[in-house]
Amino acid sequence: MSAAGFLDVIGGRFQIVEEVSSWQEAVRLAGAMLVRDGVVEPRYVDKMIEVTKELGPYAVIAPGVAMPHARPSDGALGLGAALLLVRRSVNFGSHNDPVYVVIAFATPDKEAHLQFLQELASLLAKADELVKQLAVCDSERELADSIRDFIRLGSVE
Amino acid sequence: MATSRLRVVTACGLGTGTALYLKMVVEEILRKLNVNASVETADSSLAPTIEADIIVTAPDLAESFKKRSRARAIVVVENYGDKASIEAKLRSAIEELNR
Repeated sequence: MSAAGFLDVIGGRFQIVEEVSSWQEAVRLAGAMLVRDGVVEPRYVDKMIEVTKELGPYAVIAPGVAMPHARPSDGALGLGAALLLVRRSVNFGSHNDPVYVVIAFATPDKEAHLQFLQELASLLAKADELVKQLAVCDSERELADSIRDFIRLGSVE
Repeated sequence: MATSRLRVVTACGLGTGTALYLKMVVEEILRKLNVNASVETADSSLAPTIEADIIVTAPDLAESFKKRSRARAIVVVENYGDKASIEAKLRSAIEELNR
């Protein structure tokens, strides 16, 4: 059982962009951070896009928040995630559009990574508020600080 | 048959990311409701073949499950962060099954 929390799994992989031309570009940008750090093979990024096309935009799990992922066997080398903030938002064709926060996720196994999921739950519980607060962040560091605050507040309740 | 153990399946496209997330949330809710249940994850091809009592999944996948699923009930979750609504839907699905 891994004890890695949300920010550990993100591991400093944050990026802010003004806009993207499509949801595919957003997934590619987020995925590129995982490739850069050796968390996934390049083919994993293609798979995340394929899966979303095939199975529908169910990866948009809460208002404004998407968590694209592929299978462990699609080239996931480690447990990791990368967070992309799209300031002007992007549509995935989901009931939870528009999306501001894209969290590309990879895990090499089918373990639950409970702490990561619990902290994700406390973030998603206030997705509207979270998205609003993250959307005005000017730096990657501010993003991390905002998220840390949300997790802390969420776990006290 | 209120004492029988409920079989719940949380499903996503691949059975890894979001299905694991849903499993955690659903287990937490069922514990709180004092419901005797097993919760397992499945991908979108396996999930409809399972003789489950309840499948919990996203709207896009629920549409395809409705035609071919062997489960007795399907709970559709739009917002994975909204535990209150997931709890309400699970509760009414369980009541329906016990009727």
